[in-house]
Amino acid sequence: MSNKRREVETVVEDLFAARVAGDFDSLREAFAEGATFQLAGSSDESLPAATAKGHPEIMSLLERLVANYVLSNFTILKTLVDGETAAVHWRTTVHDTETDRTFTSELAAFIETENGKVVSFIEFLDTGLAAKILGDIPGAQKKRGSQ
Amino acid sequence: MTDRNEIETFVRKLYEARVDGDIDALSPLFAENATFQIAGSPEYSMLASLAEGHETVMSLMRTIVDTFSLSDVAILDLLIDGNKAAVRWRATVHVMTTGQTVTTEIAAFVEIRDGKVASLIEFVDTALA
Repeated sequence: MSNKRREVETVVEDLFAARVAGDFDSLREAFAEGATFQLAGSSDESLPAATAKGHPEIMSLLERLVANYVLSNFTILKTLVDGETAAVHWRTTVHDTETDRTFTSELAAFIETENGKVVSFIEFLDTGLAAKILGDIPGAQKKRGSQ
Repeated sequence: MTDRNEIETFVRKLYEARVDGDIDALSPLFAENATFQIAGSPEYSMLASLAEGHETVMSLMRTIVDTFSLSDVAILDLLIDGNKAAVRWRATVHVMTTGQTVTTEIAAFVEIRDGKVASLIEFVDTALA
């Protein structure tokens, strides 16, 4: 296994460990200053679709995600590494703290790294499920979906 | 097939057929015991599904082709790692049943064995349908 591949895998593992633990110091450390974070989806149709640019916006979005969605039973199903980019497919149980509902979902992310930091994170989630959950919360689009 | 160029050529051929909705071109690209999953919760989206075996996979492909037409397709990322590939692509999707048109991004994980797709998992905007 090449050093570069191991370095990218380590960035990915540390990033997800920090996300699951809600460890903001490690999350802040993981992202480069000018990084971008995108929740993929059609912004017209999917309440959770969002983009954050730069450290302050990303940390603000992550604070909301960590506060609203507590992850458990987290499993990485596959990780592909090509150069400094990784694609990750994972499964997790999510506890929505606002509705007190729990569900299990599969997600994917494309993560671009540079010098051991995340410069781009694009997450694909079950927008149908997310829209249903957010749609059940009055004003959720303003509070949680319009970053 | 583990050569990087062969995998890339295969994946681009797969997506060309997928975008064209060309079932005749798609059919020979899938293994007999292939699986095709659209990740998501079936109770919240009619898109979320799992097809196992060639006949069922092609039946799901036909349903998708008959329901969604794609245009302005662009592959944004193509990662290759051994016999696996991950694709991030953008397309304008016209939903024929509702008349709705949206631009969206899709992620896919493809596993290739013996020159055929053994597993295809797509992450689509399940809120669309």
